Amino acid sequence: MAASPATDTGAETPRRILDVKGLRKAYGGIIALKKVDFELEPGEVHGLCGENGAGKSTLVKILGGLVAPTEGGIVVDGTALTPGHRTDPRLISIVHQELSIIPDLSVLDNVLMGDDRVGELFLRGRYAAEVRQQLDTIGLGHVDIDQPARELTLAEQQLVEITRGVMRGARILILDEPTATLSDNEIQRVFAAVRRLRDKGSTIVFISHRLPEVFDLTDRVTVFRNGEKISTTRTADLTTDELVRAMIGREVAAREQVAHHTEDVERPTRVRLKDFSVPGRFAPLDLKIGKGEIVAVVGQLGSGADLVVEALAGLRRGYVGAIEVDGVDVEARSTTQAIGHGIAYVPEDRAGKGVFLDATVETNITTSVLDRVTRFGFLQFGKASERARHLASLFTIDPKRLPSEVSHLSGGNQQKVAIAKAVALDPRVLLLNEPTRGVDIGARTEIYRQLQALAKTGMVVVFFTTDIEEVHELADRVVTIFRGAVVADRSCAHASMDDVLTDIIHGPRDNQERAA
Amino acid sequence: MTSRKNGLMRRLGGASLLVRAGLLVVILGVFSVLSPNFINGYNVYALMQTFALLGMVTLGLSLTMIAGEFDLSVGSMVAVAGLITLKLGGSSMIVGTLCAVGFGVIVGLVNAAISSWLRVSSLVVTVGTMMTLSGLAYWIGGGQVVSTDNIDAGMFLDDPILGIFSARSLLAFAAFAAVFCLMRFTRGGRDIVATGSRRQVAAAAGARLGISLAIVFVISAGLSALAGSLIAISLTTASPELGANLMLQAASAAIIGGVALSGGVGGPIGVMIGVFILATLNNGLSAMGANASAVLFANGLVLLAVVILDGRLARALLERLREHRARQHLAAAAPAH
Amino acid sequence: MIAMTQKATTAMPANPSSPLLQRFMRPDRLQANAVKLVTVLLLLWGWATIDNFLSTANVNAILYSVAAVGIAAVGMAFITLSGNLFMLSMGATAAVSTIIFATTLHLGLPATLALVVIFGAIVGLLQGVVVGWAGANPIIATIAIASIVTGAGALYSGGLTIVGQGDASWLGVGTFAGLVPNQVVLFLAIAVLAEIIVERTRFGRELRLIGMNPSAASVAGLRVQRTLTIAFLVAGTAAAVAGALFASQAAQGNLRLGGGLDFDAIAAVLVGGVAIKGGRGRMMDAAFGALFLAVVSNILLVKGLAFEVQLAVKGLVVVAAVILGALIGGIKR
Repeated sequence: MAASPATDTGAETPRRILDVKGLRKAYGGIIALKKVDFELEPGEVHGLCGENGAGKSTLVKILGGLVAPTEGGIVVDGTALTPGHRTDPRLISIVHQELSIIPDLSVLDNVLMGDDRVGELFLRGRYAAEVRQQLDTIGLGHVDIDQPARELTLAEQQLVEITRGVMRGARILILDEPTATLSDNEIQRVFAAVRRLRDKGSTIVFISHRLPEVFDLTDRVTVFRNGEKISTTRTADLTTDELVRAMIGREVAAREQVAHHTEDVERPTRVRLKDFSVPGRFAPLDLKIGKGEIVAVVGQLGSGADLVVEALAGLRRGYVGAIEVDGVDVEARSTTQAIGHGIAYVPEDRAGKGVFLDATVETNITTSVLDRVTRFGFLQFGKASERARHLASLFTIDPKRLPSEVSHLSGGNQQKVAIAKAVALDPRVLLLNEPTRGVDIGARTEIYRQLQALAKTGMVVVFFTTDIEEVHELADRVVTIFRGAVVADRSCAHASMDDVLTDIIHGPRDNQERAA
Repeated sequence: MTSRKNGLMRRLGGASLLVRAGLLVVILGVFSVLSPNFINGYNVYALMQTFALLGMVTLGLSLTMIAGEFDLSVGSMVAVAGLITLKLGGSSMIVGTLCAVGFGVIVGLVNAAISSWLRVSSLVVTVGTMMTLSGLAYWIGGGQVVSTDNIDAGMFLDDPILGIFSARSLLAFAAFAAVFCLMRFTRGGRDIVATGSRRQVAAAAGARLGISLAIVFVISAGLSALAGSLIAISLTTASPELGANLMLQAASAAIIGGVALSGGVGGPIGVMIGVFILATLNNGLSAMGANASAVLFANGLVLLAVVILDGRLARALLERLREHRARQHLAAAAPAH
Repeated sequence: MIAMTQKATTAMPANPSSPLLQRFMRPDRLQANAVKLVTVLLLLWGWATIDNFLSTANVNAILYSVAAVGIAAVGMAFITLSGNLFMLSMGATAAVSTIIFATTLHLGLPATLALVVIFGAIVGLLQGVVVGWAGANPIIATIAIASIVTGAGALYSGGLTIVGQGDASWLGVGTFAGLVPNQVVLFLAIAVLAEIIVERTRFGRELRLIGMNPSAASVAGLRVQRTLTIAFLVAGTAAAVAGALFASQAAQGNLRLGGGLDFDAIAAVLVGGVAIKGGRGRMMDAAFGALFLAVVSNILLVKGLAFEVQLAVKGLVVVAAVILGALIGGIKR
């Protein structure tokens, strides 16, 4: 543990518990982190904010040793970390955004998993009492430590995972979106646990989109944007507006001039949702979408907003309620069924579900419409080529790239292929989940332009996004979901992004503040 | 909200273990009726002898399944181990057995290494191992049956102890006990379950993937080798045909015993019950006069049935049932938000 | 404008010096091409160093050993391409097919072949339903079916050899134009047909895409279950046809024929360059894989090495091919 020498002026330089210098991470052509310097003071609760894709998760993965940086070094409490090797959980312990609960192990086993204190011989008795106490404190007194983790609710599992992080007694504990599924009560308990840890000398990093919580809990806040660290400020010196602006990057008000919004026109209803709900995930909602309307569905992680889109696409077999397209009741119990009714879907995970990386662009684009380019079972290559070419040109994909494998394209082009693939169906309703995640500005603009052009032909476009910019640039209308219920339905021409952000973060407002 | 109330029954493993034990009793009952005097001393001894071989092999295989893998080479290993034992054993069978088990450990390490290093599915790697071992079996024996004059060793292994057990079967029970301790009392056991339960997050959670795979494949190959070695000593002959249908039976027994192909689920107790269920079924059929082909046919049907029940469709249906019940539960106890 | 600013890495290296070599070395075709090249080299080497290597007798030996396995390999390739790894019931299906062949030969060869094909189709269809619809583990399910089929066959035949009452010589020893054995013609026809189906039909395209990425295939609305069922049906049929070839050659039916067919077919598929993870590879690759292994076996045989060694060599070849394929393609599970 290197103690920094006192400076000449006699002022004490705070000994940094974490010192990240010149960290850079590139995945092929995509730069996730651009030369980041980051430091933590011991005993502070440090907030980390930024939009999706800003670089927070990459930083966390590198700190945890799950990913090796392309450049740069990390020093924890005087010890340099070996890149690419799993960091000693006693130095840095991470509670990830995606739960790493093992459903088939007991709660006790889950809490103690990976704990180096435990040793090879794993005698339950030795740790049972301590685990019991920790669980009681965090609000899981009703949970039996021997029951399989599978039986717990999502929120309970999240609390178990936080308990695991807390029990490790690490020097630095990183909590990545820990409160997504928790109730207010549970959130307060987590905060109490965090404060207790801080009092014991640990340093906490709190990553969250939920700005009120950031303001409540943290001492300092660092903002990331586009892979760079934008600022580090003492929380007390910061206002919500300033924080939002730092995260988004532009003056929110100025954005109004950039986007084109179609003026409110009377549109015949094309899609109607009646009492539409996925039990346990979001409450029944009624929605009417007009012909050619572009609707953004937004909400925080855990709000259920993304599930609205997924359910419409046919990915939630167990939905209840009615979907009506062009006046006819349709069932979307599977993606095949949805496609049959003219509902096409572009998933969020484009590498996993959106495109076939090892297949050519042409093959990808014609995937869903093979029946239209087949005769007597045989593919009509000429016709398929023509269609692919047409769709590629719509989305400004270089026709010379048609025979290339999609894995060789940039993220932006891959996404264009994914969207072209769905549009090939000539759908009545086009659904997109995070339409431009990981896509460069140029491709983004092209995609927006094309989607708007498609909407003009009468296609209904509904998309889920966590990018406020995107709502503003693309959508005519934005529906906000908060904790499973619709809390706002605004026309983009008349709403500012501040309003939308407020809806997302705070939920229901007074009736008088609600726009028509 | 989950409560401590249903403490006993909510041990899912416990409930299904009871069901399995019940199934075993039912099968015993059926055969007792069909074939009078089915449960006599000799038959039980025979059952234990079957358990000695099948149980050990199934135990090893099931461990790989719990880790989310599958060792297809267990059957071939049994054959090769038997041949190695008799070829190298000579006067001291212990030497032969040690060589066989040592060989098994090496093969297990190779399986684990290739699977984890190259991130190739173990189904593929062990197919290759299985093929290589089959070839090896023919090569060692020169395509013929290898035999030994050492009858004493075999007799020692098979001498009835307390009427129904033998050294071999007791060894098998010991193996089960050892694996039980591994799973219950060691960190390695937890890591194995994590590796099979949710592979993607297991590493993030802190489980040691490489070590888990090494453990399960070494135990699988090692136990198969041990079992093969012992049966060869017992029969005083070894041939490449030895253990021809073992893999099939072991897979059935494991799945019947509650081990899921997808991983993370199951344990030695369930496996033991599963082995006894299958062994009783087979022995019972034989007692009723069914020939080997009929037993093979029946085993195939059993495996088909359990593999379907273990498949995606069945699980989806079960999951929907569970969700439905959970929702009812949630509706009954007022929701948090 | 935007198209030129892509940050993509291109598939083809910028060096235009030798386009043919580049196409040969393309990562996804490297193994398949290498195997073809090595086969030719082996043949040349054999011709140069072994007496009578390319004599009619020896060439016939190679051809006859490749025909049945090649057909099975092509069938197996359908399964592998679809992402379902392997079908371990081919040996059993072939074995029982020989029984059926011998038992029905008195009805005339065409009828016999038709019955064998129907049998294979049924066995394949059954597996297709279990794997495609019920979502059972493909390897274990096919092992189960293998036992059922073998058990049934053994119960029927009593383990005895059945000699057919009829003339199977067209298939057994017949030749086309006096030169090429009919078995080989059949093999080639099947291989070419399979290649056409996979490369040019909707079914083939769906099969490949499903193998490449089952979740994307499902989201895109491809007919996953239907396609998988058909793939298994085809594979089962191929195994049965291979059995018919065995039976005609041995002029009898017994359950020992066809043993090892699973391994041979798997080895051929993997060595030939069809990727284990699915989605990559062509039918002709499997066919060439079978040819390669047949040549290797022949060389080993001619050199006097025992059958057991050949078996072990095949196993090692599979392991080597797997490792090679993994290193080239960075295979993930």
